[in-house]
Amino acid sequence: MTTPNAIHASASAAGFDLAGGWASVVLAARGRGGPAFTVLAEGVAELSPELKQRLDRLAASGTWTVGALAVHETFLRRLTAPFPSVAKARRVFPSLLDIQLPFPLESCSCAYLDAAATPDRQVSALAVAARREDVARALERFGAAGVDPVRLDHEGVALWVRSTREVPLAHQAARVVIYLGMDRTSYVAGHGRTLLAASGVRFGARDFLDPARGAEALRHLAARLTPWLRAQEVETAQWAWTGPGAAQPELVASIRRALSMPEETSSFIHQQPSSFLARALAARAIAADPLSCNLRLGDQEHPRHRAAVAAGVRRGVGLALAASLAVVAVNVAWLAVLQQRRDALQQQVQTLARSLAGAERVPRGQEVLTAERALQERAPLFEPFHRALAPSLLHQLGPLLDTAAAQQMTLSAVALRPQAVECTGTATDWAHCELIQAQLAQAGWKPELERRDAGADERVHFTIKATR
Amino acid sequence: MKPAASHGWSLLLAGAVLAALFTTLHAVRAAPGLQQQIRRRQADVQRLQELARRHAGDQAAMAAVVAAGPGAPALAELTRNALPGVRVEVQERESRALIEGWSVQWLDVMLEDVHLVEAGRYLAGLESGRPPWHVAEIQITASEGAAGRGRITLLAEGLQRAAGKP
Repeated sequence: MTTPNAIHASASAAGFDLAGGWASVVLAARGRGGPAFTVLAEGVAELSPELKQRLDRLAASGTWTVGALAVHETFLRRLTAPFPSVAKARRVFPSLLDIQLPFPLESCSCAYLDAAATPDRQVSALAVAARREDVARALERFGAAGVDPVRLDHEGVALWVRSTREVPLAHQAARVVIYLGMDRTSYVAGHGRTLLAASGVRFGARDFLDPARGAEALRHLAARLTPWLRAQEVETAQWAWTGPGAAQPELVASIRRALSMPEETSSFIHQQPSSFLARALAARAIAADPLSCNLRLGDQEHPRHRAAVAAGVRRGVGLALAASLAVVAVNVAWLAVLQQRRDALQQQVQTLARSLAGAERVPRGQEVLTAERALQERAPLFEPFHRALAPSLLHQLGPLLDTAAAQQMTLSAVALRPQAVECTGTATDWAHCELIQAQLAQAGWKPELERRDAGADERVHFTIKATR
Repeated sequence: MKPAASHGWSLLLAGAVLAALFTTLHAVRAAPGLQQQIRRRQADVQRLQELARRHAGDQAAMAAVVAAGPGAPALAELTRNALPGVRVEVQERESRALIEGWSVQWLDVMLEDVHLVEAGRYLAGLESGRPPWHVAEIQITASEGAAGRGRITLLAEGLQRAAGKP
């Protein structure tokens, strides 16, 4: 058994749809609005030397050649693992697939696509497989046409993905994509975004249009397709026709009649049906998605694909390495910046403390305390300098004396100290004493007024004591 | 990619991832402590800068006094010149050495039976000197029977600089 370890998408790819004596080639390149297609050949009998040269040049510049294994050469099964874990489910998918295949899994190339958890806590995936001998035969077929495909896709998956991209399907609506190839007929059924099943027969448009065998081929197709459709429960599905046979409306009409398809059955033909498969293959090769697959694996893997995958791994490892180193650098730088900031602040603290304390050394952690103590000790030495420049008590004495004079008060004694004022005298009225009291209170003192009754001089005797 | 090379890359990547994890863990554990130290140091710097501003205020006050001159003039002589005929008593109460050769001196001054208006002019002149004599305490007692006259006792504080100091 060979399973892919990685799927690589290239920047441009050439999709090949080959059927003995018939070929279509489409080039796809990544564009802003999706893939940009160039039809290099459509329904030609063989690839011209000019086209081969052009393809060689494209290959040399990195364009991949992509082919597909026909549906009848491959197997497609939907698997469901009874675990909620995708990783665990991936480990059991080979066993689940093995029991559904009519030959040993070890002889196959397999891929498990779009593995995802379902609402009922299971994991569902689309398994595709091809016998390695069928892969080898397909490679010989391509080689005979001078093509060495870097990637071998699953035809059914490619048809379904391209069909739903070009003509989107309504949610949960069913569709049958029927590819009328020159030498084969492939049909794919699904609903919404989900591909359910694919099958095919080894005869196609060439057989249907053969006057001798056409009717028999159509009967065979109906005999194979009708029960298959019933099994898929998609009888009322929309039909999407494509492939070189779909370019001939009379053939499509014949098949509809052979299948007894009611007139009202919704049906359409894809644009440029002859190059549809080549377009589908090229488009899938330039964009990786959950349904991407390559069945050219193991010792059959194309060296360019192997190199690209290895380069992708190296790039991934390099990016992870760079990210890890960036994380290391950020962490180291972060701590370094913090330490540097702390050390700078510590240096500033030391410098300030030494300057304020007037000491050569200040114990670490004691800087503020040491500086505070030093300033506290020196404060009395500076206080007289501050007092010398500050207003003295006399500035309070002046207004006091002015008020007393204005109110015709007589002051017999005035004493001013930094924390106390005492003023003794006489006034003609009680209210005058209160003026002095209010004045002192306004200047920030707490005055207390002692009043005595008027004496023989008929004046009010008072004493005002104020403290801070 | 060859298996050996792939193995080497895997080992290198594992090492780098481990280093990233280790340094992240280390940084996450060490950073809060460092940030706390930084906050403490910032608070210390702020407090020390506040102290430095206060110290600068002290220095500025001293510089202003230094710029004013070598020291307050002799108080006894100044008083006698300002109040001729008044009985003046000047007595040193205390003297204390400061810094850079400066000292502070407290003098008790008693003016007997002084005309209060003249005394007011004298006191104003006392404080306008550079550096000034600073009146720390004052007591005025009116003379009985003599309007506008009285006795003044005051405590004057003045800064002096020792001779020979710059």
